[in-house]
Amino acid sequence: MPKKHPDLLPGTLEMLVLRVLQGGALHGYAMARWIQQASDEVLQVEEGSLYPALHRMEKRGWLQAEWGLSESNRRAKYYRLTRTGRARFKTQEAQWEGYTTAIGRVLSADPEGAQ
Amino acid sequence: MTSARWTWTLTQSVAVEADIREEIEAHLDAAVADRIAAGMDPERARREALARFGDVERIVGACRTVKLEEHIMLQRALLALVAILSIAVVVQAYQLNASQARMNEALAEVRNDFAAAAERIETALLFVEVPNNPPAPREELQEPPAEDDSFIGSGEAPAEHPSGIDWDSSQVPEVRIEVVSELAARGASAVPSLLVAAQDPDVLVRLAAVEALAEVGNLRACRVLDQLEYKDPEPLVRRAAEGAAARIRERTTLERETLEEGADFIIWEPKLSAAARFQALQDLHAIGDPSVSTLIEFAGDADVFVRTSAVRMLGELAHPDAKAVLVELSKLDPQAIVREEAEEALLRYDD
Repeated sequence: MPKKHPDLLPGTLEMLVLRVLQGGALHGYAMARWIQQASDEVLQVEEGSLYPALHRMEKRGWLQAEWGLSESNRRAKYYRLTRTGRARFKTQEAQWEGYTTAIGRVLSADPEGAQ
Repeated sequence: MTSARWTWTLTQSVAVEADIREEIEAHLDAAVADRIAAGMDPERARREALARFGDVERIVGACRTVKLEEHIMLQRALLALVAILSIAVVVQAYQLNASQARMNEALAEVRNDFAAAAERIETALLFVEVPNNPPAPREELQEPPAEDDSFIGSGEAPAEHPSGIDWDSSQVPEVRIEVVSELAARGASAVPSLLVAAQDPDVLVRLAAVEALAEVGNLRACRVLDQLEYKDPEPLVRRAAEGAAARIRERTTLERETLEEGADFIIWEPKLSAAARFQALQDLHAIGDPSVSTLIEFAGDADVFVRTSAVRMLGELAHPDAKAVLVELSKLDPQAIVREEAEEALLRYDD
């Protein structure tokens, strides 16, 4: 029986974070919720694993973090995209599209032609 | 790493961890709040939020590693550096220790060499009985008695002898024999007195003196003993004189060889003082019949007193091999005293 919530492919979490932050600064919990809702509850990241990825991306200069107040008036750390982060997203998005297109072509091709 | 650096790293590490925990706590609070708002009881909401988040401590550790990666790497590099430096210090200390040990060995070797050299000189000098008083001038040296009939029994002792014992021929023979024993015990300084005793009218006194001379006599004593060998009326004394002269010559040859070996060392050992070289020269003179070649080497010594003394001795010998050296010294030596001594020595060749 297939898993209800499949694991993310390696490297895709960073791409999803870059995508979600296109709309503006968010804290970690909001990002996790957005990914889950946008994928119709299919992609459910292990929320904890989001934080080492966020800190790594901040260190690479793709994100910039600062403390702010959440909607419930609580201190939370907000992340926003830098210029480098935006450029990185475009590159990753193009690579992903190329990858999925190639996979789609293979899946729709007639196996008889390989004989 | 300095203590300030350690303090900074520790402070930084604590601040980073506090920041991570606060961020995670905010996340969990929001997750719990959402679940409670959806109608879940708080306890279950907290449990589910934690389950969805994963192992908090593992996540905190992973975040800390990302944040402090450079510091951790730097710490490891510094620890490695400290370890390498410690090993280098230990190796250096070991090498220093080994080098010091080698230096000590070399020093000990030098000390041993020096001690051996000193022992060699002492051994050489021990063969010579150094008189308490300086050697008498050549004119005052004991000359063999004239070859006449009054040779035996005509000797007269000097009033005050270097031996410190007056020879009184008026004493009874037994007393004179006792005096000969005492003289023999005094060594080389008693030779002049023993030479007088060897011409005593009493045959037993002469015999005792000859035996004593065999023990302590020098080459000058041999000249007297040679005459006794042919002229003494008693065959017993003649044989004793012959044996004594032979013993002295044998012993003196050995002494001279040893001393000359020591003299070579002294001449070619520049670290020895001029006083030591002068003393060695005096010892050669004390033996009598020193080698001309050794005296010529001493005549070229850097010290003016050693040269003067050597020139005087060469003059006494008047050996043909030394003439050229004396001529050269009489003209070229920088010191007037040496030149004058050489000129006087050359006069002996004309005699």
